Amino acid sequence: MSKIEEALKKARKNPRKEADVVEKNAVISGSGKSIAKIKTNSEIRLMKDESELTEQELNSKGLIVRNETQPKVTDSFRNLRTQLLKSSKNENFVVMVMGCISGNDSAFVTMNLGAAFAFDETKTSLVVDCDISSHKLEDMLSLDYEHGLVDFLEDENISVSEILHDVGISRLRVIPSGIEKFKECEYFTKGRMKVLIDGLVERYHDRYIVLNSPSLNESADANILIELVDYVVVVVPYGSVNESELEGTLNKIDKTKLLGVVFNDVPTWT
Amino acid sequence: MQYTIQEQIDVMLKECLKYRKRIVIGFVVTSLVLLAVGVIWPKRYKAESLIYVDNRSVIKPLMKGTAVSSESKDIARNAKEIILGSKILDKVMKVAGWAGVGTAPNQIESIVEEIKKKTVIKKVGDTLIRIEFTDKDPRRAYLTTKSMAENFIDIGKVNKVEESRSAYDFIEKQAAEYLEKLTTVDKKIKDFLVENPDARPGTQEKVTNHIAELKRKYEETTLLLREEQIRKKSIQKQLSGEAAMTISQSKEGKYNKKITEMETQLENLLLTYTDTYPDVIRLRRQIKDVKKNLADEINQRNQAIKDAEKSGKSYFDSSIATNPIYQQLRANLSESETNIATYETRNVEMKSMLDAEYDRMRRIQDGDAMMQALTRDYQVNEEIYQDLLKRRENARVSRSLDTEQKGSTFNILEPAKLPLNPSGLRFLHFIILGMVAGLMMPLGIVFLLSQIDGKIRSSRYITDKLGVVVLSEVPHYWKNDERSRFSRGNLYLGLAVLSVVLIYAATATVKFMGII
Repeated sequence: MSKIEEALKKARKNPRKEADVVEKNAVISGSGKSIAKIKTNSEIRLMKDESELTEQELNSKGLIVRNETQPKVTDSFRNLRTQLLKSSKNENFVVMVMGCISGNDSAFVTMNLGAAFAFDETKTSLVVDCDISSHKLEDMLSLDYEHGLVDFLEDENISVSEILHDVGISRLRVIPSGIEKFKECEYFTKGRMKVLIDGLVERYHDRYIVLNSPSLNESADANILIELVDYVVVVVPYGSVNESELEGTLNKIDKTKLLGVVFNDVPTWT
Repeated sequence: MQYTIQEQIDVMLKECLKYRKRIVIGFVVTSLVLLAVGVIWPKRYKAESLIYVDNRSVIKPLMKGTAVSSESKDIARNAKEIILGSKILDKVMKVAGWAGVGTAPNQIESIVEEIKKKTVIKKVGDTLIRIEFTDKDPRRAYLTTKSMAENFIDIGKVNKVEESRSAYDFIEKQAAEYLEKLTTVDKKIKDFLVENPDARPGTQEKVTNHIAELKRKYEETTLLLREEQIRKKSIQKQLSGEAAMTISQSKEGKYNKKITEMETQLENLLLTYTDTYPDVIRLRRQIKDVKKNLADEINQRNQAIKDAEKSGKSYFDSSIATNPIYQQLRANLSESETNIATYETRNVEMKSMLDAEYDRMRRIQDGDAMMQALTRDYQVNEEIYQDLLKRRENARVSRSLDTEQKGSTFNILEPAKLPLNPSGLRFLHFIILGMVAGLMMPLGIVFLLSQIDGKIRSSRYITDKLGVVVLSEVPHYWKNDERSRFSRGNLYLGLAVLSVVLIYAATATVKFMGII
């Protein structure tokens, strides 16, 4: 079964995936840059997920819930989103969330930042897990998938729609990292990665792309990714990072792209 | 890292939340351990006694200025040596009930060690000693301290009497020694004087005078002798010259006189008569004869002098012997000869006398050096002896003083008392300490770690120190099951703290009830 047939089948099963099909075809048929943007609200509404996760499920996955039990956490992410939008002057952009040290903080912030964008009904968001050596983000979402980013970069037959996954949150799609087949392979230096990112960001003007990146000391990928994104946000977990470590990380990031730091996991009683 | 106080408190609260389990565990362990220590901590009773000790040695003031005594002693250490010596400890053990008659020697040894460990002897000021004894039995502590103090005083007094007695003995012995020395030197001087009578003081002066006089006389006599010899020579010369003169006066004078008379007669005749006048002729013949006689006489005398010179005898003829001047000269000569003989004899005599005196002088000088040494010895010894006699009297007085114990130098100022309250840490202290330390120790460790580990705990710090914007501060995300675990965990922690408090209360009650 060809990829196209598969996609069509999926589209038949899920009419809301139409947009993805269009996108996939567009990306495959030519360069992403040449594709005209489709700017209709109806399209975004099409993405509305009917099998949304319940609050309970969201909570168990560590994801923020609108107007719910953890208003402080939710507010902090909203605040973060607002600040990013302010910096970009309401243009859509690619932001990279990078952990200062290895840990789950980066995946947590990435997912919840994506969710915060998706709160706004006029915006959609796409989370791309570029931390290909670990699967923290996938584990956090308990995501079961066939193809991920690595598969897409390795195999030109795989379309974009095949790596876009729904995680049960409206207006939010996730590209999981996929399984790394060749260690030490420079996936992100390939032109296909840049094409993908550019295509994704230019496809819809109201789509915000959040990249989850490994920390600088974990993988050299982080350095390459910085070149591909518009903004960088560094996640600093409470009470775990030395001043020198943070300073070292910050110094390696292009100052024009570095938006700031997210201070994560601050202990609170409630 | 530098935080403001506000931030400090904030960070502390966050850290407490983060490490709540460890803090509670730390609290439980610390407080229970301290409670346990408090329960088994033995009660200690301390009895103490204050003793006045005059550490001035008796011999020192007595011998002041004469001899240098050894350094003063550390009275506290001395007292410790004495009190913890077997002499006192044996008595103490019996009195305070540490050991009975049947106690084994090795047990006694360990008891002695225990007493030594529990005894503290301190020096208070210059002359006070404090004895402290700590024991779990208040009565035993009291008895031990009391017995130690009393025995120490007794020994101290005995020692003091002993000391002043030995001081007296010492001085007396010294005095006797010096007396003996004095006697010896005295005898030596006497013996020496007997052997050397010239060695008496002043003799030398006499001898010097004598020598001077002898010398003067000798020189005088020598002078006289020389004069006399010169005189004798001149007399002898005169004697020989006088003989010739006398002859010319006697015979030649006659002839010359006759010639002169006859020539005068002749000249008178020639005035009236010619040469052919008989009287003139006769007279001329007569003159011729007399001149011939005169020449004969002179020849004869010259011959005689020559002969006399040849034979060495003075020329002498009968006419000279009768000459009074000659007689006189002869007498003078003989007198002069006598004088010379006398002077010579006298000089010889005086020379020998002088030699004798010089001899004596030498002897006197030798003896003088010896005599001086002996006299010096005598004087020095006598001085010290006199001094010792004075000091001996002082020592006698201080000996009697100590024997009658009038100059008390050992006194118990504060007798030992039966301690009513235990000293040192008590159970109440441990309860307070347990609670406070149980709380403070884990918190302190958390605080310290948060201060020194250098991890970032404040968003302000990132902004201020690194100049990077903190976009957002994300609080900890509570998953539902985590939250329920948290609540349940907190409940357990609360229960743990509560149970510690209850254990404290229960133990305290039991303890105080037990005391009552």
